[in-house]
Amino acid sequence: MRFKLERRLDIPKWAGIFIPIVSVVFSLLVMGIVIYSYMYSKPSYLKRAIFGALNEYRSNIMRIPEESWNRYEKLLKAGRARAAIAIPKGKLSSNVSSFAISRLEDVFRATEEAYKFVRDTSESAKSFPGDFNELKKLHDNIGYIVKAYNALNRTIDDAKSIMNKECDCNLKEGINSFVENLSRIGVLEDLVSEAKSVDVTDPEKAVKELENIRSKFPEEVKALFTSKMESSVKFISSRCSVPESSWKGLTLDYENNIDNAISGGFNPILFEKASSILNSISTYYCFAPVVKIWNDSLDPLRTLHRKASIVEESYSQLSNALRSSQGVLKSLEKGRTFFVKDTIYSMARYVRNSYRKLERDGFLSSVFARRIESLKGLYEDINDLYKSLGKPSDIKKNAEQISKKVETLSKRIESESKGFNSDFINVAEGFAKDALDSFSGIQNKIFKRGSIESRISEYLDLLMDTYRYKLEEALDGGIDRMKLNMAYSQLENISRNLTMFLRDIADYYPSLNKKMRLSLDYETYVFGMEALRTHASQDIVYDSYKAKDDMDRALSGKRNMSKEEYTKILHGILEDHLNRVYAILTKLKNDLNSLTKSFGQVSRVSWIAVGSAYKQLSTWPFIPSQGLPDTINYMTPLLFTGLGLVLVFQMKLWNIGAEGQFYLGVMTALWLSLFVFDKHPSAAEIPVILLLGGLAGAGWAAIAGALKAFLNIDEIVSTLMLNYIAFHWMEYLVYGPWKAPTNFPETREIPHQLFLPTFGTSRVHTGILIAVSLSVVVYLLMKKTWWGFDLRVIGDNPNAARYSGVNIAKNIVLAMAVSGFFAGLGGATQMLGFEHKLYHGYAPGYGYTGIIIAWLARLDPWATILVSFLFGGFLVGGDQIQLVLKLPKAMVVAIEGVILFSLIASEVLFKYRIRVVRK
Amino acid sequence: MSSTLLEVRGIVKRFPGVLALNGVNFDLKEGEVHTLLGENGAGKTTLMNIIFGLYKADEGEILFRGKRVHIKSPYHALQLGIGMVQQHFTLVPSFTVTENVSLGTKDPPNKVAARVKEISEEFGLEVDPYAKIWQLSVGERQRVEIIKLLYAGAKVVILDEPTAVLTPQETEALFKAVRKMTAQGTGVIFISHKLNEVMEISDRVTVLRKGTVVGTLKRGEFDKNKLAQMMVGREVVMEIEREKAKPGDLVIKVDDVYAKSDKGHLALNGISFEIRAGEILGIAGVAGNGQRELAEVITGLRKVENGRVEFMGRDITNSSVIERILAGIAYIPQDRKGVALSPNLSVAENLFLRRKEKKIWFNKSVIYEHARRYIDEYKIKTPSPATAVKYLSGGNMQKVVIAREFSLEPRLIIAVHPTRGLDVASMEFVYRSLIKARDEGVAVLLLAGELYEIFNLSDRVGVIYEGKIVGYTTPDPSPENVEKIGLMMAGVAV
Amino acid sequence: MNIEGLIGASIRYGTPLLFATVGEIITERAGVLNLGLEGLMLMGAFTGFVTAYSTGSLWLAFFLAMVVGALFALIHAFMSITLKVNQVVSGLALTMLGSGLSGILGRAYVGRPAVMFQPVAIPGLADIPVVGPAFFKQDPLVYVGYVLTFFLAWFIFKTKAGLTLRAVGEEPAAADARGINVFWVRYLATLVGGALTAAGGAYLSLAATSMWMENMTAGRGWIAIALVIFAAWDPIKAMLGSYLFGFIMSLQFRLQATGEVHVSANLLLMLPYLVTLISMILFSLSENFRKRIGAPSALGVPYSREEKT
Repeated sequence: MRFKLERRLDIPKWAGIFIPIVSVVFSLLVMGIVIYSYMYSKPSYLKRAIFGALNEYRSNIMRIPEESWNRYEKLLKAGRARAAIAIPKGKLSSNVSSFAISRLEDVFRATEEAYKFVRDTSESAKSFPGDFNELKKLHDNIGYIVKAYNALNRTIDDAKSIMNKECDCNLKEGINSFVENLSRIGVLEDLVSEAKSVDVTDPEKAVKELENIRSKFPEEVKALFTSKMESSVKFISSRCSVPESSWKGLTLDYENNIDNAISGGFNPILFEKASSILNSISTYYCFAPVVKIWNDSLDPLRTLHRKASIVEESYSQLSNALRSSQGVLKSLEKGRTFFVKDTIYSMARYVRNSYRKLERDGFLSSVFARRIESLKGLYEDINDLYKSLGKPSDIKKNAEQISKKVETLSKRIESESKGFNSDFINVAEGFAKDALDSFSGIQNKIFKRGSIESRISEYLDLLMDTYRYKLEEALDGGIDRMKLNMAYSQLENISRNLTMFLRDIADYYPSLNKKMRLSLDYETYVFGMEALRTHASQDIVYDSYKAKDDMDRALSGKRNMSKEEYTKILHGILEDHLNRVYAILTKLKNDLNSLTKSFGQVSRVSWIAVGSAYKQLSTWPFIPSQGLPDTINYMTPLLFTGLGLVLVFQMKLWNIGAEGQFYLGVMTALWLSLFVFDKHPSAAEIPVILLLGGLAGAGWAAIAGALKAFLNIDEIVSTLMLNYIAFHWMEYLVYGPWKAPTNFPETREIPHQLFLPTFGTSRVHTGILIAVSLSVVVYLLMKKTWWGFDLRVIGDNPNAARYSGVNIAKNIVLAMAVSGFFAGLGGATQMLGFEHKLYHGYAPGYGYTGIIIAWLARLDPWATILVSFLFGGFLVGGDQIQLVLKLPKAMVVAIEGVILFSLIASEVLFKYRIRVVRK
Repeated sequence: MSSTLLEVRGIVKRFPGVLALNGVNFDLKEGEVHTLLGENGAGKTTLMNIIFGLYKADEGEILFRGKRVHIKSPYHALQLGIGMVQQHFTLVPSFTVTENVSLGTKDPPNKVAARVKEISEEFGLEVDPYAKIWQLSVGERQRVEIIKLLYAGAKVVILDEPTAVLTPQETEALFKAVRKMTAQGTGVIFISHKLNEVMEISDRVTVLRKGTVVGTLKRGEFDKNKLAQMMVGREVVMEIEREKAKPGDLVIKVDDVYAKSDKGHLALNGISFEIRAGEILGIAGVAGNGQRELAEVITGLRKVENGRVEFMGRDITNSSVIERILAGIAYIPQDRKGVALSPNLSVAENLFLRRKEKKIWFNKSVIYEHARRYIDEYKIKTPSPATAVKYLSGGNMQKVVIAREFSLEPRLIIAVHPTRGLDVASMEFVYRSLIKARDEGVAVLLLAGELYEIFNLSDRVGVIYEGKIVGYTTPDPSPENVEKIGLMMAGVAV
Repeated sequence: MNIEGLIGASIRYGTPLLFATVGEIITERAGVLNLGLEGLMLMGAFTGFVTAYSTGSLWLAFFLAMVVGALFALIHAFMSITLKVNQVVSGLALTMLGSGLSGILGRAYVGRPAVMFQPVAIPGLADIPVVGPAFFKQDPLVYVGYVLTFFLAWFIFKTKAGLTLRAVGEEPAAADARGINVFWVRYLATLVGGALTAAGGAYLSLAATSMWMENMTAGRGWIAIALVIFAAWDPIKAMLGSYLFGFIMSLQFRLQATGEVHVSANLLLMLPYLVTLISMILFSLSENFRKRIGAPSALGVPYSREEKT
């Protein structure tokens, strides 16, 4: 059984269009599948990431015994045995643990991604239920009320002028416009009915009735607005259960704005101010009070941190003093007395600085009163010792005695500093305790259990826990400034997180309509992930500290032990730690599984992703207000390069160099605008620039043409090389001579007079007109001139072309040049119309995509216009999908590849019939 | 008689729109030369391609030594012992002879070279085993093809129009080799449409016309006229009646022209001749002696190394192809599909491939209008002016070429093998058109391989050998004259 | 810049080019033009990195990269040999597909460190004064490159299979008439070529560096295509050419680093492509006949027995 390709002879000409359609549909199908599988694999990818991180964490942890033993040996060898005792007590050697922790960061980041990804794919309908909406609608079409009011005044004046016979104007018309405007937005029905009943025939009566309507009009409108406001305030505050009081200020603000708007003669601008307040209410203020209260409650802790840094500084002064005392002892032991006096003096100074810093701060001076006293005493003693020292020779004589005194002094310094810590720690802890108590107090007060707010409090707990850890860590065993700063930064980002988090809630919660919330309870899923993740990570961190302590205990006091014993102990401890961590992570995995399974989450989300991808792709690029301007701007360069390639491909001349020729156009246009016409640039020069840009592209392509025509060098490779040369030449210019004075790798912008005009206010530049007119030129060239005919003959049978007297070499160069001209023109248009300057790494790839366009259009100039429009849309849609679905940019390139493949495959399957041949 | 080597029964083969073979029976005995005679397009090559496994027959069966076989591919045929020397040689130009012969076999190179030497000596097919193919002449390449078959031990050897590319002397050497092969029991199928060769070599002759076997005759039962009559099916009008030429003034004068061939060595070695208006100069000669280069030199497709070409009194040695078209030089090249026409373009467009007017705008409707006129005038069988020219039959394609060239009102027509691959009706049409042109005062330069064509048309006959006119004679078909021309074609001064 | 260092660097930069060029030589010798080298190298680099990252075994990574390369080349082979499509367009599509797919799948692996080939000095040869450290203190893949090049030179010009391969590229009808299955030979050649090209890519992510970055081949696939012509379809010349271009690339990085020569980096980046273009011009000027250059005459032309008329 063998396949045989049999050429189909009966292909109707028009049937050719099926080929691009079939290939595009096929590739879009492939894209859908790729997106679904990419999305579907994401959660499992996350779980794999979690356990990948665990393996790495394990490998790093197990290295700790080795590492710390090596450090231990190194320090021993270095001879500072005494100092060494303090350090290696089995503490997690800092760099290894941090490395391990960073691996944990991977775990956090992986789950973070899950959280963000799910949130982003949720559909967010922007309507805002309740009266609030109507109020906003009212503000939107305030214009009608104003018109009605003016119509009313006008009719009154007319009526008056009729009374004193100045004009015979028709009242009916004024009243109608009043009625019609109000009924348009369906408000103030009573006034409308009254106006209708006004008896037009009798002007006096009409004036009286109209004036009474006018007098009632302002109150009615005011009542209308304020009533709606109250009901919406009630609605929002009920949902956000924020105390009425916090709303007072805002609503009052709103009301008097409405007042002066109405009293100001219904001036629309004043209404505008009112509606802006309304907007801020609708989005954030639902939660603003909460944030404010919360923020203020953090202040005590902020003061604590400021105080702690002072304490820490004075503490370091003390440790300096300790160190210099040890220095003295050592030098005395060795009998060197040279520096002894000065060191003792500096000892004294350190102690003085330490308590001076505390004295300056009121709060601390009271807390550390006792401590300051004892430090002062210590200072005096050191000073006395210093004064009692005579000449160096005396020191040597009673070195023994002095060293004993210094010994005692250093002991006192040591005890002082230890005490120092404990004093501050209980103060700090006291602080932290009441701050944290106030938090929980606030939580209960503001947030009732069981509603959205419970989520907020849960989230707050998490933030506070992490902060508590960081704080404890900082204060544990002597204040460590670095850790202190970390704790402080954690404090700051609590409030920041909170606001951000609340804003998200504000965005999503109201927008989730009933159905969505039930079937796809996003934030429960999201919070579930969040809570699980944070708890898991905290447990692990907590556990690692526990392991650290176990190690300290296991090793403390043991002086000399063999390496095996040492590592055996540590391994044992680390082994259980790892098992515990493993248990935590498996629990996290199961929780994630159960969570996703309970919501049938993953497959649904993936399908929604695919659905929204197709929606984005089909609607976004073609809606005028959204992507259409971009589509047209994308389409222009594609059309330029596509048309050029249609011409040369006709001749079976594979010009892959449209990209390089495009760059030449860009460079020439930029060079002319920045350096030639920059003196007094005027719009007249634009055509000149475009033309020269085109010629530059033509020249670049002619090189490849000449090489092919005269030296028979394969144009595919030569054009490719020219592409890369052009690209790097452009990069050289951007980094080198043309670099703008700013520190960004880009050039100056071209003078505004040389900008290509755009259509009205939109950013669509008129380059598209040139491109479309160009396709007419190509059509004429190809189908309506003998030159076009010659090109077709060269393409079909070069020998016949030579036989018919056509100079093939000249035509190759000419055709390449024309194709290059189009690409270069495209480049220049893109520069003047869209880019306006050149930046580093500018490689849009219009030249390469142009090849697909030419093939999709089956080398027909008219079809090229349609195809480049559709393809421009596809590219814009592609960017949009990446934004919404967080898909990698490479997706579009891959799909382009699939389109090209399916295109050429369908071309074949279309031209040949596959016949199965029996063996 | 010896046993039957190969037999085909009831072979039918259809191509889109044409019935190539309609129930053909054919058999070949050991040690026999069985000629398959038929004019171009009769289905000779198609039958052989089926036997050789290139095509698959729609109906019928093939028996080799009495056993039914399904031949899947040329290689399968070779394994069975059936070899064929095709018109387009299947040799790798950049390989040596030995490499080509050893291709596909497992034997070490030196053993192959020795065997090649052995075969070439035994059958008188001398060729240097280590020469590269692209350096060999056409005749030598044909010998390599035959050696390839003999090396593979082919029992049935099919020769498809072998002498078309040979000089008479080379043809003689080939026939000696064939006789040696048959003496050893090999069966040879000889395909040709040159009657004198058929008379000389064939033991049996089967005549094929329009895909059916007209008859099979044994030696002695057939003579040239009977064969020709069977081949064409009616009294072949070999003689085209035409008045005596009345040569007018000088049209073209080629004076001592030298020109290089594609491979770089001199194809024209100082050729000189003149043609007057209203006169047909026929140039006989074996292919590859500079005919193509001469035509290209006159039409401007090839550079003249030195020497002069004068046309209507003006020196056009270095003028361009376009200028020569405008001056009135028409050219009917040998390779219709490859050079004269652009296959995928429509009949109408091909009718205007070479044109005089220097118009810029290509007006499709006007062109179709003119095309319809030519199609009627020259009776070109085509569904519509828009159909691609590749779907036309050989004869109709040639009509398109002739229509176009004649539409240029030429003063000189150069025709190279104008009737190659055409059926008799089209051949007669070509002859009549050339003669009509001559009578209207157009000079015609006819370069053809078949002598009878030269005799039918030419007023004067020149013989070309290695890029020079070695002599002139009259178009008299008598054996002595043919002998003289044959010798001159082979370069023997007469 | 001592000599050994310079030569050593040129070889390291040249080896990925060597693999790709030699791979494409085999494919083109059989008459198939594959412009998808860039895509194949990227898929090779990606597969290599991922396997090394997850399994840690380098040789498995190298092998799998080749397998994936062959699979992707299979697409091109099916398109150009069976469906007889335009090989230029199919090649371009392969590059797009390759770079796109590697970009998508590779996103998760950007910036992750993995294990890489360490240089291995060959005991005897490494101590030769200048040549030793330059040539024989390289990573194992470089040695694979040496062996591969000489093996292929022998294979193509000296063996029966080489003869078949060349025949299929030069005159498929002749090969077909001698019973050689033109389709199988072309399929095989394209697959082997694809595998070797992917191996070149794998070198980038397993030996030159040990990381994955989108589009990290940066145009080396296209240089390889030019190199095939530059080397006149001969593996030995391809090796010289690759190391020459490796030298130019290394020179460009080195000059940037040391800043000795005040030439902007981008002009240097332009060098390899400029040299390729100029060499093609000089090459075709000297011997003007394609025959002599040795380009397979049936390159890029799909073969089908029936449509020979």
